[in-house]
Amino acid sequence: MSWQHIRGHEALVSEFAHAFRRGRLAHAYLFTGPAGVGKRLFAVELAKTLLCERAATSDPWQACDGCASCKLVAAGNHPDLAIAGRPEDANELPIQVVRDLCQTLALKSAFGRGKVAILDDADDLNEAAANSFLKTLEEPPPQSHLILVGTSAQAQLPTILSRCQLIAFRPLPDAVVRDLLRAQDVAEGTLLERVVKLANGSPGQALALADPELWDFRGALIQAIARPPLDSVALSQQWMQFIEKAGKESVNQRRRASLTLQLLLDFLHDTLRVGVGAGPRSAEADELPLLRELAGRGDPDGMLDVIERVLEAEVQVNRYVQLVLAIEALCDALGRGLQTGTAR
Amino acid sequence: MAKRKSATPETPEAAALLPAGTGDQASPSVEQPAPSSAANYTVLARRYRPQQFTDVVGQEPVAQALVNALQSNRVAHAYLFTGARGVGKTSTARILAKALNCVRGPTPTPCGECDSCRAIATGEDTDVAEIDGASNRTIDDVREIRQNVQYRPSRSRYKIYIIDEVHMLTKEAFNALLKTLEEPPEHVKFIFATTDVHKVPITILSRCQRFDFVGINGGRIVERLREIVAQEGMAADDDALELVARRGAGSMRDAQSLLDQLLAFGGERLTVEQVHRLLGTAPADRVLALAEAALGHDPKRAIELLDDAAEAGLQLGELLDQLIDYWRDLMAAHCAGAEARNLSVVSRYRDTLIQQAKAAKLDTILAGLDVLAAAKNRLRGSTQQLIWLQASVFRLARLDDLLSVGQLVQLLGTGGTSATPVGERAASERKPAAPTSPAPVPMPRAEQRTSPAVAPLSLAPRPPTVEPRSAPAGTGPAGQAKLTVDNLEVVWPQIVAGFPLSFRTALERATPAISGPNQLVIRFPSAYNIEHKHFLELGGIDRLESLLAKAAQQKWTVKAELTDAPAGERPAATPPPAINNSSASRQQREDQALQDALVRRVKEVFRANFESVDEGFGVAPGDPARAAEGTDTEEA
Repeated sequence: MSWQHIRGHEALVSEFAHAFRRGRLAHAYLFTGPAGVGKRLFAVELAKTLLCERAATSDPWQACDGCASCKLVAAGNHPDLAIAGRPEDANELPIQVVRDLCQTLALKSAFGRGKVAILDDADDLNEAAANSFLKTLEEPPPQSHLILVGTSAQAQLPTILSRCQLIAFRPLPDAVVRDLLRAQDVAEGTLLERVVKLANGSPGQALALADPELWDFRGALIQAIARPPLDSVALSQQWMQFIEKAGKESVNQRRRASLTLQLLLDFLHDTLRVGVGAGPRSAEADELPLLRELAGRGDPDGMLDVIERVLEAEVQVNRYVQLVLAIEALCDALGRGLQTGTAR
Repeated sequence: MAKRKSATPETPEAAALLPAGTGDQASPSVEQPAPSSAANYTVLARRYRPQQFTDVVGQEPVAQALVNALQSNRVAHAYLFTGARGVGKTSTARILAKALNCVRGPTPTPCGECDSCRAIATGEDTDVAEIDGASNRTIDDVREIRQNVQYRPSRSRYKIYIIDEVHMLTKEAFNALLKTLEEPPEHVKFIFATTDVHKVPITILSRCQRFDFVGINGGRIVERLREIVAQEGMAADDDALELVARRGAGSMRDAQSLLDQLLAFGGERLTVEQVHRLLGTAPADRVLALAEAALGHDPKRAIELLDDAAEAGLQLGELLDQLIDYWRDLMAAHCAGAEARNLSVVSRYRDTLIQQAKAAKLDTILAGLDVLAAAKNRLRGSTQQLIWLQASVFRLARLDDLLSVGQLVQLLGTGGTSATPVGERAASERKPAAPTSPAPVPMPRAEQRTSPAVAPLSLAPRPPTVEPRSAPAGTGPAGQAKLTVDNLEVVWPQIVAGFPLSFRTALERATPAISGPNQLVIRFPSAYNIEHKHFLELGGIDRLESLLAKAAQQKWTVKAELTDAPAGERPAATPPPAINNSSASRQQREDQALQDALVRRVKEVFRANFESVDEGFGVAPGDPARAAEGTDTEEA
């Protein structure tokens, strides 16, 4: 097992192996890359390797998966591995989490092989939390490693960035995503293929998109857009109903809202692309005529405005703007934008 | 070597403690641990932390001032070090602490060998408390300091408090510190370090001697990196080091972290390709191709190039930064030509860049920078980076399509009918411009009313000599390209549309009005005070003024103010249907408006639709004065 079950990041694994063998592993890493490509899995595997007691193997880079340490990591309760993240019910990572993490890191290692701390959701560090991390991040206690897991370096303070080594995770190849989806029992067929195309190399995203209901809704959305006098009130109602079906938890609703927006965006994006003669990125062949028609209807600038408006809505949804407001405002703008060709 | 690791067996710290380049570094603490002790590695930034004032790269003025203070025995009791990340604030604070507490001191050259120096370097000294201001930010933490301040240091001369990240202290904590900070016992020194000095209250600032650490010059960083690489027993191309230094953007630590990573992951010799691969940045030719596509109005190619970039796994955020740098280069090259300095483009492509810059219009380049900067802001919060980037580059590729105001004015004047720009808008034309006859002669306005001045609609900018500069608005001779009370309504949305998105949103909330001779007031409803502020802060006034000056060939003064009018009373871009509650129906008013030759032209040339027609639009019969002056124009 060990590193072999990290799929699609072979280059990174070998780079880390290289650094490890040279004895040049840094104490602080920031993992960035799209959600759901296996960054955290990678971090835990790295921790396992660092903490492994290596009774069984000759290659120190491969965790043995047999020693007590490896088993504890696998079970998720190794005393020298601290994993923290954003609390379920919070929008951001509070200072307390970071303080606790730094405190655990300051204690002596139980197994004597150093300590590893993994901070998930690093994107959501609030200002106080990020600042309180700085000193530890720069000069952690001996033999400790910190791994921050986030999606983009832009989300971090420059002071954090300057203390970490940045590791950019790339999207997984489509073939790997497909394999992983199959392993998750997603049925073969058009859905799987479309989802793989749209997922941008993130199995996590692909899995979230592989929901037939979502695609039904996408159909309705596109219908609404394709027929110009867009009834924005009705559409926003329909949209909200669909979002609310995701459950009472606002996290789930937000997630679904963001997925619908992504589908819409991809469609509009394809329209834009078709408009200038580039091939569509995700649309199926049977949608091409519709794309052409839409692209021919307005000038590209109008379509750009519409796209920017939808992107803005996406940002709003990620930034915890009230969902109803974000969606209604978007529908309103869409209604006007698609009529006049511009969404202001 | 701020090595905290007391566990590290070897003691070459002393060697590394020596100033860099004093030649005495036979074996710097390059650890060559057995592979299994990977966990023992200390990053470069810590190992090569400067240990003497002379080591601090790029901060000579600060270092000199501190050395002088030490020599003349005038060391203040409180210092505040500010500056960007990784320029040497904390390091300097530690050196100052050592200088004060060294057994052979106080001296500008701490020995680095005595107990005090060594303990301070590792951050473990009993008398030098290095406090993390961001973690210990409450008033209780400060009270603890206050309590301990009164006790004399245990072995050294001074009790020194280094508070790092001091900007994160709470307001109460800061205030609790004031008295102590102003008059501490004579054995106490405070050193604060922060990146965000504007968050430190003024009362604290006034009690400290403040030192601003500047960003470090790229060349100096390269020098230092070269030394480090040599000491680490590795090799690196100069180009690669330059790239690393540039990425550091003035921060030594950034550059060192990056170098560390490259030395860890890369091969035996550090090359430019490795740097690009590691950073996920695009090699220069990729950026160049993209720029070429955008400047050559080829959105298709630009989009495909971005597809390729995404497929190759490039970091799109980085790519955007590179584009911004490139456009900045274009701007510099356009203005300065071959003499442009500090270009970020590799020297190999310098000539291409200069050619591109010369071929492009400055306005286009500047507008491009706007587009890119706006995209950078937005990219941060979005998960759809590729779409953002493609949309932005798409805009970039169509920039010349947006005719400048001046051109439009000219177009209207010369009777050109189609505002269809050079781009492929024709391919996606919404509807054939049926009513647009090829080249209508200048239209007399006398159709609906008798007017003494049957001025042709010749609006081409006049040479300034003809320009009645001081003519009050609305009374200038007919045929002048001018903004008047009458055409303001029509022209305004087009003025707004000429602004980048960041302004547009603000401007759409505002109502324009002409308040006097060549004075335009933009009124923001009080509910939109944020937009108002935003507009002012972004320099909207200047922009608007220069735009008007260009379009109307006259100097306009623009003011932006807040009014108490309830929001939505008349938002310029999207008037609510309530506007239609007047006597005449909307249709009637549209028809009436269409009788105006000017409006018709506007409709033709811009292929415009009515969004709303204000009541009383058009000139009331028997108002010849207004009719006469109404021969003004539109702008986009």
